[in-house]
Amino acid sequence: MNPIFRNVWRFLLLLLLQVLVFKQLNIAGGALNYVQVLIYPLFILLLPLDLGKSWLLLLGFLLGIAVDMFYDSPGVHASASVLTAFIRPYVLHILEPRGGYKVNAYPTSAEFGTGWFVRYASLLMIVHLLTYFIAEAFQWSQILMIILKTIVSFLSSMIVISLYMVIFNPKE
Amino acid sequence: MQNLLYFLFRYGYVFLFICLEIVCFNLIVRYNSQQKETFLKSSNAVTGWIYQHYNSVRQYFSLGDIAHQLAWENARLRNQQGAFQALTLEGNTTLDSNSFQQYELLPARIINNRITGLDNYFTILGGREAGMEIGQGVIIENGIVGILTDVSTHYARGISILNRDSRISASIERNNFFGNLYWEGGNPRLAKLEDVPKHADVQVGDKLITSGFSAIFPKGLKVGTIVDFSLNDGSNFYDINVQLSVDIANAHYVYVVKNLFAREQLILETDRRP
Repeated sequence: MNPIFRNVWRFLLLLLLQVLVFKQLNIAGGALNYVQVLIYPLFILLLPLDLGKSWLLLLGFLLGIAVDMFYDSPGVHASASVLTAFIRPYVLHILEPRGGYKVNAYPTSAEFGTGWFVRYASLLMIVHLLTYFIAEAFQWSQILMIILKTIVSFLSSMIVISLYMVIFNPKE
Repeated sequence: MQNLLYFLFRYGYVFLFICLEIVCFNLIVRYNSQQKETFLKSSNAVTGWIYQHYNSVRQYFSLGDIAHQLAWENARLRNQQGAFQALTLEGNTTLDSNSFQQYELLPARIINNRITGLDNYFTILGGREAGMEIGQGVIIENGIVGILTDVSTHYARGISILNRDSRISASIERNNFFGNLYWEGGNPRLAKLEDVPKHADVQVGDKLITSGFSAIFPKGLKVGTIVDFSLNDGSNFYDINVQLSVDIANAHYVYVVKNLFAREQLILETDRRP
């Protein structure tokens, strides 16, 4: 499949999954109303390795704004997505395998192994969720709540992202 | 010059990153000050359409709950009707030309609702064409849901009482002391009441109702129950925790309160002429 078409399709799929399924979830309910499941950052995670950094940022911004329109929170998801897109090259640099990346490789578990992908996704998801909750609260007095939310949402989001990777197992 | 171009080419994405983040934070801040960024809201045509169609599928899964809610309400209304009929039969009705209808309820369906964020909003099917206007209250059988903030032709978006910017005037049913009801995030069934002075007689278990001071909600709607309260040293106001009577997560069919005298009250209250 054409890589552009594939990524447009993934963009729409993840956006709809996020706003129609995971936004409506209220897992803990009641007093533990902290858990948020974010799956859409996976789109940024799975963009091709040779994509320019500026494209990465613009696509991240577009995705974040699209999610924001459904969440009624202009700028909150977008700021987290742009930051995630910005640090992705640095995370890839830290996790670079011996001998470097192959040309035309895709950052998937099929290409680099499950362990590598979990580390890659974890680093980016922690940054994404932390930025998201900070931007949502927009005040430092809630820092403990922000950290608590980041931890529980990180665990639930990673489970969902792992499921996505197992079910679809994208190779590119 | 060549060096400058090289520098821009090499590090242009950093500037792009900073620009995009500035745009984002600008949006967040402007939005918090209630500016009208209408195209970014869920009452716009595209997101409204998607939510409407998605909701008409999803609704099937909660038909039991909905039927239950409607059945209870039916029963209550039938009881009321029975009471009125009894009065009529005894010939006790009086047609009083001084009494008039102040509130009209418009039915609507919630098609998008969220309770997990810190600032939650909901969208209803029913907009300007159905008579909705900005500032109208949204209620359900056992409590209040929120206030409409944006209205498009077929949809309306409202600020939920589960939103840090939401303030509802509520009073204690027993003695009419009143305060502002607000929500701090976290538990969707627990809210707080502020501005109740310390000389007020507050007791655990007191029922809260809407005060009817604003032009938004009629007086006497159920709001919740006081679960505990405290008085901080040096403070003149109680710190009160309230168990909300409404479970917003299960709100499906709601009523929009149309106050037929709202304009009159607002003009009177904002008119500063001597």
